[in-house]
Amino acid sequence: MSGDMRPLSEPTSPEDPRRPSDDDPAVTEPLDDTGSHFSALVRAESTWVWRLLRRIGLSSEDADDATQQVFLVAARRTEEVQGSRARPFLYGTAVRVAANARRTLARRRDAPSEAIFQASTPEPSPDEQVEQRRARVLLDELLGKLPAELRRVLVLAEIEQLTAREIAELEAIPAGTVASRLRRARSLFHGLLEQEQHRNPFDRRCS
Amino acid sequence: MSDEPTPEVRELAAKLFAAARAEQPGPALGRRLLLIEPPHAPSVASPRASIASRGPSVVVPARSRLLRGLAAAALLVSGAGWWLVSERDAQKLSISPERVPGRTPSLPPEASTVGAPAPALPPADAAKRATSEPRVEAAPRVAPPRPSPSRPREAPRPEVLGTDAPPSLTPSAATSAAAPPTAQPLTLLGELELLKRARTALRSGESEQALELLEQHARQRTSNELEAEATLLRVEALAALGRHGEASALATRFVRDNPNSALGDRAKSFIRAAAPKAP
Repeated sequence: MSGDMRPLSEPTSPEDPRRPSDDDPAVTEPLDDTGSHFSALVRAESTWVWRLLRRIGLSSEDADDATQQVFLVAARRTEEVQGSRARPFLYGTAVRVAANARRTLARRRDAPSEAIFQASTPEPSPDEQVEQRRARVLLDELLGKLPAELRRVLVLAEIEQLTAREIAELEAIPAGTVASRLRRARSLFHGLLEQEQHRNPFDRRCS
Repeated sequence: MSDEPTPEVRELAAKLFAAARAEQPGPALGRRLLLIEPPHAPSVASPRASIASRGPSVVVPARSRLLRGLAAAALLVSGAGWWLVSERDAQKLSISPERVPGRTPSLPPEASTVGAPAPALPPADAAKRATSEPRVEAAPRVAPPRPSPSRPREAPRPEVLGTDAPPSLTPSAATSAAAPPTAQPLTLLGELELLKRARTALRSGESEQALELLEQHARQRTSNELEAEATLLRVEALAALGRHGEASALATRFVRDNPNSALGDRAKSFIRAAAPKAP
């Protein structure tokens, strides 16, 4: 299990909230800071939310829509997306939205223009992009065979590279449960991958 | 199923996970998210006592509440035209495929590179902790770094995620009315800006102006990304002008074409039941 204390994404640099004092010119305070707080939340958190939704099994387009739904909810629940409560709230919302989406939406194929929209820097070479897409297709096939809660902890551990404690917080389960789920998830995943390698080796896969 | 994965399997697994980490959403997602309108907090005044419970909120000494109240009233009247999706829409939890089937959004080349050197959001493996504790503190950007104390509200710029540019746009009815229409085709950000101005005009009661801006958008847009928001604004503008028949017709068409839209219920509120043919 990764021991990295990796954040899900680069955190916004914390600024000390101004200490209130009678000298504060009240009129110069931003009246409604909800907007900038929310957009800061979007900037800091939306990429991992989207990534998570992708690996829960949504296509790119569905993940876009689902991410929007997550943040629509977050926009209304300002209290619950403050400070350290934000990630567990976003995570729980994302899992719920994804569950609803998979029930109500037919799974959409990834739009062929997905490659156009990927604006990663540094940009992987076209060969690398193709390779990565193939890898994700296989990954999603395998992940799809795991029970949902095992899939989630595996994704959080291997893709978001969270610690067991961080996963425990998001999933609202004890760290020990995370550890045992992770063991089972990895065992299952590796087994399925090995099986798949025998059947259809990755290097020779067509899609 | 072996107990321990072979090195080959391990390596391949690592490769698969790395590919997943490398995946990022397109810039369009960020723009859609920044269009979400957080609810205005009418009682955003936070006396010192409640700082701890509210977390990052506006902190203002009590004696200034009257001034803040007046300014808040002015703000609501002038309309913060930043967000295009209202709070009511946020209640809709249906997945909203805004895309009309068969039409692929076409981003003009400059839309994907405008402004920001950085991609949508920094990927996880490029991140580093600023502090030792794993807090997701999205602290409010309180006054000191801000320009111009005379502005009642500052909103972040509609730009590609990832930049730290300070807010430089003030949605105000005055500026939106005075800005001359541009003639050239719009980038996606240009579309966003235009729709923002249309919304500001609408909220200020300048419905004719809003319609003009919307018509300009319809002429100059180069993508379908914001079609739903533009249509809904048009419906509202028509209704505000008393053109209820047109508003209703447009809303009906919108709902039919975008059955799962989060904006659908809002559109429906403008649909008038078919009345017996009026003489």
